[in-house]
Amino acid sequence: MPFKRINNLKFFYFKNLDYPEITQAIATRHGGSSPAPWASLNVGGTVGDSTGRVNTNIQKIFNTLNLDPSTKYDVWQIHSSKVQIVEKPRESSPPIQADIIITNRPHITLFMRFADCVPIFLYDPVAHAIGIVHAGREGLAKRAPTIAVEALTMAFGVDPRNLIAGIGPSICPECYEVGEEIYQNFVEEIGEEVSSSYFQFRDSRLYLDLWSCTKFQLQDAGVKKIELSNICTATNLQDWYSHRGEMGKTGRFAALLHLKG
Amino acid sequence: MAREGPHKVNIAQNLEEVQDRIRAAALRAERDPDEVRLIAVSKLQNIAKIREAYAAGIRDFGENRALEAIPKQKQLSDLQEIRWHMVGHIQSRKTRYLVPNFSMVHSIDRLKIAKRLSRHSKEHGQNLPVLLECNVSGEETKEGWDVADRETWSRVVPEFKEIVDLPYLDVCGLMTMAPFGASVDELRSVFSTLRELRDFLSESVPGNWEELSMGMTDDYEIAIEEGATLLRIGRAIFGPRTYE
Repeated sequence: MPFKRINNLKFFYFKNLDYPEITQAIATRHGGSSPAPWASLNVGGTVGDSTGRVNTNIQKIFNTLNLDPSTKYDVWQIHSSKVQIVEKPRESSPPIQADIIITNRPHITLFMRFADCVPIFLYDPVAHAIGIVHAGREGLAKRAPTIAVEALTMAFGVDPRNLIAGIGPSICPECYEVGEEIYQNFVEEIGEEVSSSYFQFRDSRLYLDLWSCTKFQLQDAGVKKIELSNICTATNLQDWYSHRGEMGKTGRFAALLHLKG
Repeated sequence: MAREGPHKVNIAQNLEEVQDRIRAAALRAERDPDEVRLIAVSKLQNIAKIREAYAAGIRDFGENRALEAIPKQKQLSDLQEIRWHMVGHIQSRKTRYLVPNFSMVHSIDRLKIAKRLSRHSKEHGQNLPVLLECNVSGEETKEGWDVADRETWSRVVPEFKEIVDLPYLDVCGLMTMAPFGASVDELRSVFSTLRELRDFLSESVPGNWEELSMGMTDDYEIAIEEGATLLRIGRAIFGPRTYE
């Protein structure tokens, strides 16, 4: 598996994003200081864990990856398709609401939090631009992956054919049962024909395939090089936080993408 | 001199012909030909053709979609004094990308777009020249303020005043799209109506309403005769579209 252990932390890496120009990592829940139900490397500040422990965990991740914590840029993730074009680290300014963060500036660490939603990493080695997308059922219904690619194109002149994309650990189609209203929401947003291919009916239950949905939207936007991690958060609770798998009582794991100077 | 296949469009030659016709039309209408600026609409044209047009002397280029235009602009950033005009429908979530990349936006078709462009221009600290798109023919498929019925012209005044007062936007006139397949008389009526609307606004909304962006490949001479100051011409210059 594409994991790397550094000290007592364990990170997931995309093989197709193995470039010396970037630092990429998705942190598993190992090696942090939070107790159950957040054990242990929780970076979510809105799940009941203490701010002190969350900050300690974030520091530890940055230090382990040899990244300066002051380069962090994170957002208030709201299940939207809103784009933030990042020009400097966030530091003490309040977080902006967004689920797509992109930059072409070095020395900024894009940072997002996940527990079942899809982390999407984007990197263009030609235009030297990066992006992370936080896409769950709501973001995908709002075409967040497509909008992210378009944003990279319009902000930095990225040619989608040069983009390298990674679809990270998130809840798999076998585990993600959803209600009829979710299907209706997709139909309203992106039409019935496309929507129907993302849903499966099994034993009179409806399941949503976030992975194929993400992949399809990236391809639709012109991205050719896509790696799917194939790791389900809900069935690998030893490594990942899963909102569904742990019935809401859980933490958030960190995803980081950084353009070196 | 570059080698040319027999099928190759000669942009310089096309341009010369268009410029001759612009001049003739202006003189027919007793106008100064220098009042009329040609914008080469380069949507769906590739980089090589745009470079060829630039080499032939064109500096103003028009694009319809930010998503197509911006990567092309980046690839052509070495061309000095090139000016890009946004002439297509604008989605509100894409307004932020227009501001640093376009010299003029012709296609503001609603207040929301104007407000967003004003905000982004402020963020960039530079004023953006814009035109307000008006639907003169009343076709439902056309974008812009519905001004088909001149009895209702006064209704657009408050909104236009609001736009003129927005910071960092320089409203400098109007734009319209002629209906597809219209007769010469219909075209003339659409263009003259836009000019008359401009004259009406000059009286009722303090500001600069000088520019009239109207006229394309099939009708630009009529547009000139009716007062056009900006022509959006694609096919007559570039020939058929080539962009992938």
